[in-house]
Amino acid sequence: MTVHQNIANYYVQHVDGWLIAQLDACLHCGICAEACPFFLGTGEITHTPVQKLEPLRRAVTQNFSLTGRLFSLIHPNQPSFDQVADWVSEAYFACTVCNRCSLACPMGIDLGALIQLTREGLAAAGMAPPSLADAVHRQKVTGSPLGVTKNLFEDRLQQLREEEGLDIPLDVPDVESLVVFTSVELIKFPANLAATAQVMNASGESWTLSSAGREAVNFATFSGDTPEQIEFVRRITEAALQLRAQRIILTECGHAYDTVRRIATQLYGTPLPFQVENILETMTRFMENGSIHLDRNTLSGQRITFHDACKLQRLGGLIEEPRVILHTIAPDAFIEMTPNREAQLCCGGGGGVIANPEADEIRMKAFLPKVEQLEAITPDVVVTACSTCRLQFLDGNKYYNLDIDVRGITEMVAAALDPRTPKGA
Amino acid sequence: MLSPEFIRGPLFKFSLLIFILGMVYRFFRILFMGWKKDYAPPRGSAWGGIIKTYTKSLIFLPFLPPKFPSARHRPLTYVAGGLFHVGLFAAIFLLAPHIETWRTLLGFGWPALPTPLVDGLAVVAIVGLITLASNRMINPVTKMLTGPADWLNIIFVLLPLITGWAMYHHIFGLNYTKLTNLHLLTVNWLLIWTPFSRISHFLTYFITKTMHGAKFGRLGVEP
Amino acid sequence: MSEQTIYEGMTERGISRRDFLKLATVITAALGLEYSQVPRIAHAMETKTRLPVIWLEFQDCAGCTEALTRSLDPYLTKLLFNDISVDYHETLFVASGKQAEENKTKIMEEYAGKYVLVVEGSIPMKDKGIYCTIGGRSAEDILMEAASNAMAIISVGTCSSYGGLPQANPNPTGAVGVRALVKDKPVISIPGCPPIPEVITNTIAHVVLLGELPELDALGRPKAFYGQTVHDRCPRRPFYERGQFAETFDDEGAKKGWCLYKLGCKGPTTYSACATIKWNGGVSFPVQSNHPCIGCTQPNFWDGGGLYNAISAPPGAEAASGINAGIATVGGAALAVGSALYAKKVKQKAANAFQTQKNADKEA
Repeated sequence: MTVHQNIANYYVQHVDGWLIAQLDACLHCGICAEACPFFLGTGEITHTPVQKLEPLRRAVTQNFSLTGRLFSLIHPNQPSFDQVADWVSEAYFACTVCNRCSLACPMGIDLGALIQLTREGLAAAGMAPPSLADAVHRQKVTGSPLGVTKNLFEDRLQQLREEEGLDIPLDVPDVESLVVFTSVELIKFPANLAATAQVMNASGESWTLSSAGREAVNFATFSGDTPEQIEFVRRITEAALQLRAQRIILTECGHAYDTVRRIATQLYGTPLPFQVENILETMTRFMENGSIHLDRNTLSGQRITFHDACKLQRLGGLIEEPRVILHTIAPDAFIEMTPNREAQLCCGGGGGVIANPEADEIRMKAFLPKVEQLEAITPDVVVTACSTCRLQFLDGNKYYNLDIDVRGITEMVAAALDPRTPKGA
Repeated sequence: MLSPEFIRGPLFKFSLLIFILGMVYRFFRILFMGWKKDYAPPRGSAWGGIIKTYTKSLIFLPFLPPKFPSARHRPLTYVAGGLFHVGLFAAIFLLAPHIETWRTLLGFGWPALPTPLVDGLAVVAIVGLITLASNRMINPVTKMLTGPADWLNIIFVLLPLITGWAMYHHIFGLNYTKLTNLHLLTVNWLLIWTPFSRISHFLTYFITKTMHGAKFGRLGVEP
Repeated sequence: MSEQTIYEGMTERGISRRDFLKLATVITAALGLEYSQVPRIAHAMETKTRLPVIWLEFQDCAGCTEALTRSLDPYLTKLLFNDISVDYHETLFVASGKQAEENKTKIMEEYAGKYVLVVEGSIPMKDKGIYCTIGGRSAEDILMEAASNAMAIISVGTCSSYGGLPQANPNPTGAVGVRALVKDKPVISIPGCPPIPEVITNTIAHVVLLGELPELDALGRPKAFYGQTVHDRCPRRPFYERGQFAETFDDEGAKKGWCLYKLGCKGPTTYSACATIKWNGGVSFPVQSNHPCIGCTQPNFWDGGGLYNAISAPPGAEAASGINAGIATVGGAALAVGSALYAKKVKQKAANAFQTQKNADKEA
């Protein structure tokens, strides 16, 4: 069987009423392209979101629509391997699954979910990009796509404890919250770990890390490898159950929030045996119940803006939480980008794009609309709650000489912790 | 030859039946093909999202451009498409002679708009549709996406609009009976064609838009 | 029946030359011809002898004849009955029976190729035409015999033009109009239920005096009288344009003379001179008297969807919205179920193929 037949078979298996309705609804208006940063940054019409679904649309039409079946009989259009390679490139390198197109579509088509399904079919036929496939394999074997083994993890933690003089509990059972980091933070932004530990310790809530459930990132989400995706989430949820934690707190990771919540529901039904929270929710919770107090005006004199991460804000709904935080610690300094909130432009790095060297050039082009947004308000600091966004902003900052400070929100909260807080660090 | 009685009578009946059969088929096929339930614990209300999305896109706020989600992305499609739909709606549902048709089909009617107003709106609809059609040829994205089926859809929708308008204005030198026949033939054909084409989006819209509103409502995001 | 010309007959009756020319002018106008045609008409009357007209009635109500005899136009009716001899008329003649029939045969032989045949009423074709027989002969038979030697045939009324009332659904007698049967002779149709008397007389006069057919439309109707629709000349047209319609026969709109479209007026699709020549010598016509036009000059107007249903209300559609719509819905749902079941098979096949490939890959 050829590759494309294999891919098509995957899609055909997963056809249901939802998929038929979604594909039926497209009127070819092309407005999705106008919302996509990859199209806006490059002007390439092949990056039109509905075009990225081409293998999916094709397989479904050829098997489930009258005209499609007739046409495929008369004209069995076999895609070439180059075409398949194009499909892979469009679905993985020219798309972050940011879902901005879903919001723009006049018919309300869930393009993000369709593109994710497209990735799943390509991955199932072994066509996921090598960087992603390798990362998935590494995560399967070592527990982290960046190869952070249990030993490495424990070593790093010990290092941090000593350097920062912080109390960072590991594998402590019967606590309220299990905090799960990303290995990206561990390696690239260790200050995040320190900051989170500070905030958690300041709040007085009992918490722990877990060596078994140490990885929030899920590279199988990026590649579309559904079985592995479930496995990686299970590591976290099993750890929570084993430690008898009441809550899982995911730190600065975009896709983890949606992935863990959705798959946990699949595994355990509702209500979940534990809460799943993002660190943004955690920090605002602490602020609201008075567990932590933040110093206002720690950043006066600077211009600070917030970049809404697609997976946390548009697809997570955590839109007001960062604003509550920033309005508290920088009330005179905070300015919004335009557009913002759920209409915010994707940075171009998410969805695994940043992990593919083949996509380096295109993701810098996709960052162009973001550059325009920034130049319109000339901020000194861009705050984000997603580590991939942070990496992309750092790369973009260098590439376009923007001279902007890119920071994570947890670090800013930790820095603003009022020493008068009962259990100050 | 096709007599007016045949076109208005048995042929219209036949076309209507094909239309109903086709649309029912299309709708129930979607339902019967099964549905996956794959949600995270809701952070907001699905119904709230549904109401919000229809309010923004269909009921009140489409007339306020800043609120309509697609308006900022491509104003041309928003304006031309919106005017086209308004004119089409007026021509089909708010023109006195057509309301008589509905009265026969449904058993009840409703007040009409003044005929010259609907005439103007029909012209607006035609101009809007031609504008959209032109855009399909000019805009590189829509040019890539547009296929033969889209062109046929545009033509088959234009024909009843144009023949109807011609009837009212008695133009093309054709006699009223011939124009009536032509108008009804194009309407009958549109009825037959609709279930087999994307013109049926007037039904599937409600499925995808509701799912959209529900999904984002559940996420706690403004749809 | 002497061989004197029409003019000679008139002078015998004491009509002066001046009055004759006046008459010629009036007739010219009535025929819808230009003023320049007056000498032609005068010449025709001076040179033509009184031509016989044979008037046959088949499946009719004699309403067309009744309308004709009620015509208030003095000149043309007089012309018709005094100067153009009607030598056979079932309704108007006192004589009947074998003698009258024999008389008819005699005329047809004596004036072969010169007489005008006027037909009123439809011709039944079913069951060998037993539904209308005169003297033991079927209507079809009588018609074809009379038509064979006629100069021209004029079918007066919708029944003889296109079948009319007898032809309406379910058409139990298989009624047809003259046009459908006579193919080798010129046939003029003057539809109407009844036609405007002046239109009848004018057309007959045109044929008899000028010996030619007036200009006809695609349905065989004289364009002079059937060239425009009632709608095109309707005094209520402005109300149609503005969308002001009477909803019932005695509401405010009806009292104000608003358009009768919603009450079933077939004016837009009816070609007739009702709105211009009008009836009873120009007194009124249906719409003016607040009744919708029933479209009686059009073929099949009885089956046109109902006299009081608007043109845009499709005939017989009530059935479509009831049972048939239900059948269509059930049918559609059944098709959907079938499609879903078939889709399941397709999905299973794909799943199997996919699994087979997966296993093959694993082993490889």
